Amino acid sequence: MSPMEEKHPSFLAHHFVDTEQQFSAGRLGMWLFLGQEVLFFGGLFMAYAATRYLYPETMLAGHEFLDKTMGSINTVVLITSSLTMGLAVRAAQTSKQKPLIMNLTLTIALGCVFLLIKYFEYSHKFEAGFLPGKFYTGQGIEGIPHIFFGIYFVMTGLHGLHVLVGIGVLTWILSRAMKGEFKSEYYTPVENIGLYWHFVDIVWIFLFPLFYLVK
Amino acid sequence: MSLNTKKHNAHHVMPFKTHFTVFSALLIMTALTIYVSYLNLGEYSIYPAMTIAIIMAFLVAYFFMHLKYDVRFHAIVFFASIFFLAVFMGLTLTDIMTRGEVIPAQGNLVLHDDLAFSENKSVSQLLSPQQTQGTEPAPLAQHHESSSLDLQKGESGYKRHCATCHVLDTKLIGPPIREIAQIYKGNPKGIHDWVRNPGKKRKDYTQMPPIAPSTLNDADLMAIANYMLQIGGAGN
Repeated sequence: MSPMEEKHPSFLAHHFVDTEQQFSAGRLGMWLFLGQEVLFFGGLFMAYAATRYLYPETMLAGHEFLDKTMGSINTVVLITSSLTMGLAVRAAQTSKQKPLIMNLTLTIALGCVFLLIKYFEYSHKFEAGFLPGKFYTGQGIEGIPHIFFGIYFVMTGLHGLHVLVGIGVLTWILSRAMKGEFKSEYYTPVENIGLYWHFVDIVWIFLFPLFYLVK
Repeated sequence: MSLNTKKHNAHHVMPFKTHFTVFSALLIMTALTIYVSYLNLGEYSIYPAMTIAIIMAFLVAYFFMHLKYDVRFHAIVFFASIFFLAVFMGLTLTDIMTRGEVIPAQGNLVLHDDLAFSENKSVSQLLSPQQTQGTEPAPLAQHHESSSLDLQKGESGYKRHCATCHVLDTKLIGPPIREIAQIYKGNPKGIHDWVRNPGKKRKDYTQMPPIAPSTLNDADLMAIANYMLQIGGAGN
């Protein structure tokens, strides 16, 4: 690299003093966003808690209709995708192009598997008439099943939307990676999407037991 | 300039071993939480499930999200947001978990004035006989014809749908249950009809919103009506 390039590499944006500051700012921005996401999902977890406290019989009955096997598989899928995501970041940190591409691709693939399983789960529910709110036409659950499924679909649906957006961004990062943009001097975007993806995994780590496992 | 101390270096490359160890731990704990869910712990099943979930989330945050190696401020941001979430949930639950448990002798001006005016009367004479404990009225199942199961259903339905506005002896947002029981003595259907389509009888009360059958079906509503008549002293 020319002396000029060393001071101003192409990936350094002009409003930053040096690459370290850019890296720090990027990460802080992502953490602040994740802080907001905690509260964003937190509001929904509060709705779950209130409904669970006031209508335990509905929660118990409704939960029987959720497919524990599919939920468990999805948990393993997401945890594995967190592993591949971490390995992708590591590959970028060590400027190893092939593992970077491979792990990004695996993460995207696992994300798609998660959504596919969700699609099967949801279509079973729609067939049985287990729909949210006023669309509910199911049978066999006492209390307020339309509210239960309202909360179920909003929470898992919103989470699924986050997975979908993550897949979209990961695809973009993958295409940039294939052009050779990422190396140990600059891997901020990979790091940041990694943080986002791990967070989405954490939300599922709570969603899964609360809906599928707990009575 | 840059935060590159050895301790808090986000450029720290996590060894493969750490990645795979954490991954294995997460898989094992997933298996564990699924196993525990088959143990039939009933209402207690949430405790082990949440404990395991919190440990798993911590592992993801501490290792996969590099909080172990990173600038401490990022951990502060993350845990601060969790703290505020806890405040939000905790305070909201103090409302939800105490519905129907308004203690008339605490914090109500009307009863306070009564007590102040007749201070030589004992509190137990002023309050209803059932309320010497100061909490919700004791179930009167053994004295009346309604089955105890119906009364329990009525009581829990009352807590859920009515207790925020109506308590036994005190005006809250709505009239006290004792009054309601006097008005609808022997006529639970009257209470039912009012709930479905509340009129506006009095100036000093706000308009009661109707409660639709989709929120509270007829059977449960009648159970609540009967419960109110019982505790209001106007039973069958």
